[in-house]
Amino acid sequence: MRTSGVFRATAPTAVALALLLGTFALGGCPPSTDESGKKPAPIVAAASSPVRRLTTDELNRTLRDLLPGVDVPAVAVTEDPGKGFAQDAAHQVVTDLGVEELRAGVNAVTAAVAARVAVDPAVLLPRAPGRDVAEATIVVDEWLQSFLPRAFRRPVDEAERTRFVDFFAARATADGVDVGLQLVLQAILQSPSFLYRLELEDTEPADARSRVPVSSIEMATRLSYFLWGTMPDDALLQAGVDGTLATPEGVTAEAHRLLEDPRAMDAIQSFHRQWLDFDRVLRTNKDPGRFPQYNEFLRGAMRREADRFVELVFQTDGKLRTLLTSRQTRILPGLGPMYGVTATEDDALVTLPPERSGILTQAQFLAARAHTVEGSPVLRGVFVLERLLCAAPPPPSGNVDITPPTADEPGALATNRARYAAHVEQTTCKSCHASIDGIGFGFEHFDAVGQYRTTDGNEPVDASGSLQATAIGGTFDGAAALGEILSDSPIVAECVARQWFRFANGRYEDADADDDDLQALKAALVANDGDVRALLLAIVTSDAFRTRAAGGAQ
Amino acid sequence: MSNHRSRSSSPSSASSSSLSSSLRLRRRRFLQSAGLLGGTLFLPSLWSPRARAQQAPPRRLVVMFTQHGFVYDSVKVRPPGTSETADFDVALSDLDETSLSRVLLPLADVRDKLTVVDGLAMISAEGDVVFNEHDKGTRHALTGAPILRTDSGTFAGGPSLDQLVARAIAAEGRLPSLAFAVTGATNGGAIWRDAGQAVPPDTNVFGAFARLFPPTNGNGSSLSSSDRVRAAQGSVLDVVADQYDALLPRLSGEDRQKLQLHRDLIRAAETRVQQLQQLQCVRPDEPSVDDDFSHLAFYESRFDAFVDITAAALACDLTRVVTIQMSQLRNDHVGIAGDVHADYAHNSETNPAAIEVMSRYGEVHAGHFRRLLAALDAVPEGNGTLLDNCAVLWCSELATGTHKFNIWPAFVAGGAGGALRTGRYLRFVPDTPNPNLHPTWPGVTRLVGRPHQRLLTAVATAVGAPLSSIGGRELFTTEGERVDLTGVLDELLV
Repeated sequence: MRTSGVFRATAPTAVALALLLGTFALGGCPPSTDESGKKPAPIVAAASSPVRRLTTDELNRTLRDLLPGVDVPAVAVTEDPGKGFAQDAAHQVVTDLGVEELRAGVNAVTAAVAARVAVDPAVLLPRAPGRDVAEATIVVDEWLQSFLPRAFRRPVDEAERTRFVDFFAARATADGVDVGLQLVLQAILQSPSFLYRLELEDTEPADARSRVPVSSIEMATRLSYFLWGTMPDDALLQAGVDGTLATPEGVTAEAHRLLEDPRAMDAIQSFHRQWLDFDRVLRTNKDPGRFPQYNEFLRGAMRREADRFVELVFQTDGKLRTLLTSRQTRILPGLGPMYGVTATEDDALVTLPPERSGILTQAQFLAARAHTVEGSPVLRGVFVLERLLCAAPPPPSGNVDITPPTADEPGALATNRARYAAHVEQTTCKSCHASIDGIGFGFEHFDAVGQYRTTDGNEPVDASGSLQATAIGGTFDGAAALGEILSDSPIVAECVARQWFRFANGRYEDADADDDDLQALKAALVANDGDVRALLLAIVTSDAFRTRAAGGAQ
Repeated sequence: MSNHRSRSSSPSSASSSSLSSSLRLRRRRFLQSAGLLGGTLFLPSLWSPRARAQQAPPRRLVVMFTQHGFVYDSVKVRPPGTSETADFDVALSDLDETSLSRVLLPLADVRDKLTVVDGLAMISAEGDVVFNEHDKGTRHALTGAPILRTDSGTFAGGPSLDQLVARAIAAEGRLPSLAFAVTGATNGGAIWRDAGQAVPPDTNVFGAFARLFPPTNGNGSSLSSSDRVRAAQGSVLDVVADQYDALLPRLSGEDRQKLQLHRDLIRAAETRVQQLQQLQCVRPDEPSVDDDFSHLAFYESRFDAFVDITAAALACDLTRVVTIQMSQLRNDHVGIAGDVHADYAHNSETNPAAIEVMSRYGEVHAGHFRRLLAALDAVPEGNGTLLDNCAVLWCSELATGTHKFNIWPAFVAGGAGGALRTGRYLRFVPDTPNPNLHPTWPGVTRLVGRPHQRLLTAVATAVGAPLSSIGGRELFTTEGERVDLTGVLDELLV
């Protein structure tokens, strides 16, 4: 249900003081004997603009918007479960499975369309096609004049359209109008012009770096998939055709409009779901003896809160600080007892007690980054370093003992924290774990399912933490305090800018070629008090977003 | 089949009690009633004895890929008269069950069709860049190739065994290969079309079933709309492929390669949909799975469903290559409350409780392997069974749960149409220099097993895709010694 835009239509925040940043080394702890000097060649050339396929989510939203009035069955296309965003072209592999899944999915979609059209032709066609092939062909030709440019997100000339019309006529003659209609729609929905975001028009000569501006019509598609996660609407396509999107001003104006549309929430959700790994909790089991209340339902309630919370943040002010520190959230009644609040209805707005503060104190995060009996300071610390500081520590080598301690070992220390602390006394581990555990210990008030606790065993919980071993520095006590520090940190702002850059451009940043862009993006976020809307508007006018490699994609 | 195999080795005895209690599954009941290797016709093979096929059945490859390696002592067999310091090659049927290892015991009654290789190492992974061994091993295991690392992730550096074999032995108009995963592909997956190109596996049993075994057309006189849509799929794919053709000249570099591949796969699908219409496959029963992640059956029912689909697809020659990747076993598989990976696997050389749990872990997977073999062996084909015409490989991404690559156990079953030596236990004393002789790491030995690439080449050769090397060809130890990774493990071949 869409009732309001993602952002309130307020003016951008007045420019705040831009923070002058020192150059921090973000590499985390020193890698030991990493790489052995062997550096493989990158798969995707630096700062290229690889052609992107619609992700499965984008595909389904696109079908929804392309076929209004039809209850479109979901298409399931298996994606490479690599790390990062599904939008990353490097992970968009082509397989027999993908081809077969798309074909099967598209067939189900066209069957649904045919069933609907049989009852109400107007959901798709200008008028009922009848049974006569010649007459129906005229109807289909008329339909495709408007449908193909929407499906392919660009103007389609008569020659190209005629191929589809002819195909319809041939199949309708052999199999009947109804079947011919399904088949021509299948051919359209499996076409590379539909499935891929093709950028082929070189409208200007390449610059010194062999880059050309993205054309106005191509920009319509870039904008809509970045900010909506779906196809452009008619107004955006028209702006593309008109050439309006060839200028930064035109792009900015449309971006403002897109962000005020409810569809923007789909893209925002998609970004956060992947960036913060919301789905992980759905594949997390707990020890049923210790946590009998943890079941399929509770897991689902935890997962649901994450989406509702992100929604709420972006309905409030869209600021990083709100994401990391807000105590307001929307939950199912079943999650209330865990948080010590009462939710009277589904997705009830509640204010959580002071120990909860922002996304990092949500049950879904705490439960997913924990083992079956105990919380894991290591998993929680690594998550914060990797996702919020963009300073992932190198993975531990198996040649050191990385077994988490358990309470039931003979002579075990009294608290989870003490056991972990003793555990990393091994000299080889210390350098990394200073940063990991320094953060991770801050979550010790939360057990393996994310319940608040004040004692661990018979001891009071010690949730003091340290960021001394990270670029941020300083100490803190508890996860709420950590959220406060992170929400004000330019290091976090830079990382968030990087994550959005990757999501927007379908690739990782290049350390050299994209540095100016990234600095500008971070500055925009910081200058606007962490308002993510300002960041998104900065991205759409950034060099990486507005240009691509010359000569078609690379 | 050896006639002294024990009748008491029923399928459920292969597993822990927590496992057997969950096996109230259609598949299991069926296999028990049909009897392992029994004469009941389960699925008609295209080459079933009754079909009087003109040609010999084709050879096929099946791979079962599991996590966390093995507790070596739970795998190894040392028959009387053998020594730790000499290679040996003994018939498994000559061993009575009391001398079988824990992991081999569940496989006792299929041991005539099984060969165990004890004495290989994933040397190329050991010698690769320092990186998380699960990731590294997952990429090396079936490719033998050094990893590629980029900001976007870690990729294999070459095609995996199944993909190479599929390219060589796929039948025209059929699927080159099927890649399944039980709940998911761990560590990004072991199946790679080529360097940098993962093959994400299918985890959806219903999707797989529906695509492979579509409902057959009604009788020709009264085709429904959906029958006609199905019958015209080739023409749709032709129009789609034409669009790729028109587009390709306008692309360059990586993009062009990617869309060219997509075009090729669509052309192949076009041929396939036309050919498969001529093929009369018997549909296996509709799969049924448990969707509550809290239940052990969430995992087990998916495995059983994919085994059914695998047997049926191979019997009908829909494909000749199938891989089944298995995600980490659950706590309820091995009866623990902690964390399989961190609490147990990592400790499985030193801590007695961890050794016990991870030995059990291997037994449970041996039970899975046996169920896979039994399903293939239940299909009569030619003068034997489908299993006799397959090479079925079971291996893991690590040698041990402690992230070692030094002695990497591998299990190869089926006859590959007479090309594989089965019923053997092959032991090779470690004789290859360890490429990563790190002075401060505990338990590092100077000599490790032979390059595992030679097993991969032997398996490929057995199923009719002869290879003399796969992935890397050589590497150098930290001390500068050269290790040759090429060659074929001839002891595995007839």
